[in-house]
Amino acid sequence: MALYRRNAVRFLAVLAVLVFSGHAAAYDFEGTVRVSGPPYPDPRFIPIEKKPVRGFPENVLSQSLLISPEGGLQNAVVVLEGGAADVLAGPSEIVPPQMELDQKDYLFDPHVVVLPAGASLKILNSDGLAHDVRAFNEDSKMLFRYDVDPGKSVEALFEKPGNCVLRCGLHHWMHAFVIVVSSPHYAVTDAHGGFRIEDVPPGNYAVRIWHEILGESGTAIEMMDSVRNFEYTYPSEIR
Amino acid sequence: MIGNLYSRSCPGKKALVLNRFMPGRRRAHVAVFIVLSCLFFQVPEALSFLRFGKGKLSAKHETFPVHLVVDFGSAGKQGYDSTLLAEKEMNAIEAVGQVYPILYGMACCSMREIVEINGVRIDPAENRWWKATLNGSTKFSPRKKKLKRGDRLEWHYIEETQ
Repeated sequence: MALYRRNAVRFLAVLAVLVFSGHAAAYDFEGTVRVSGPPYPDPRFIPIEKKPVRGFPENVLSQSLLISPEGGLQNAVVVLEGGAADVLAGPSEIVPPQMELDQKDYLFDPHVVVLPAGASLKILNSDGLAHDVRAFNEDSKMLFRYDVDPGKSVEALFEKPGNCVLRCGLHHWMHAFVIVVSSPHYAVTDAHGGFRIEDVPPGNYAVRIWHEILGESGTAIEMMDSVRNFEYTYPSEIR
Repeated sequence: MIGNLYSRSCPGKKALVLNRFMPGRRRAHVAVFIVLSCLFFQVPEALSFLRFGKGKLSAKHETFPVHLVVDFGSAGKQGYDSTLLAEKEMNAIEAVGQVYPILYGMACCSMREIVEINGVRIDPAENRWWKATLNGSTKFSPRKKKLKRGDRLEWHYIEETQ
């Protein structure tokens, strides 16, 4: 009996070490965000009346609603909110690399950036002309304004969670979104609507999905293992 | 040079009179100078008296007509298209503020500094702005440019393609 008790104590001790050693389970959350259809809307083109430079095209491709032939939605943001306690957070204490937003070919690249609250964004200008970058929050209040000369960059700090739109005051078609989140688990969908969020601790999460045209939507999920085939289809009609 | 002079009627006091010892030609020049100086400072006031018939008017209360158009565009509210009596030194933002409650501050671009007119607010995410034109041109600052008589000021709520 004493031997049994001793073994039980040893087993529990090993289990406790495994649980609290920082090598807790972490899963991947992978999937696709789609748009209902077919048919899917064709890409839109923005007419450019006042060309910034000689030889500039007559129109530019709008990045506001990009859908792949299979219905995959590009530039949607997927965020997992909630989840387990911090002790099981695993590698979330790693500081994310600084994000960059470039102004190239008179477009913002990438079109959507996700940042954790308190992070800074490096805004570059790879074009031959100056750009005038202005950021607005959801209340239409200007957060900052920078004149960025060709070849130069500025750094902007985003402290509070929320959705911000960045615009160039000189080129009306140029805009980008900066989504500031309080969760370390987020991703932006690629050209096929696919995304992958790694190292998600087990637990119950709210899946928040945002798109600049289709709006915000979501669902709930319980992470007990890696999810490889999450699918979300925007139900509303595209306006 | 007027010279040092003494009034005959006020002995002991120095008064400004033509010195009888000043040569005649110089005396004439001085007289012309004095008359012209008086006229330079007095004529505008005299003319204003003739113009308004009421004596001197305070510049502060001067008003003049301008034509104001406010178009709410896709917001669907009823707009404004009429003559407004603007005060001197009034700018485009103050003018529209005479007709509707406004909110202004830092917004995109020099011509779009109104944030809200009559509850219709700019929407940077949807590229919707209040755009002003003065006499058909957008090349002016709504804050700095002072309106003048006969100006046509238009505020339009626009949505730009993106």
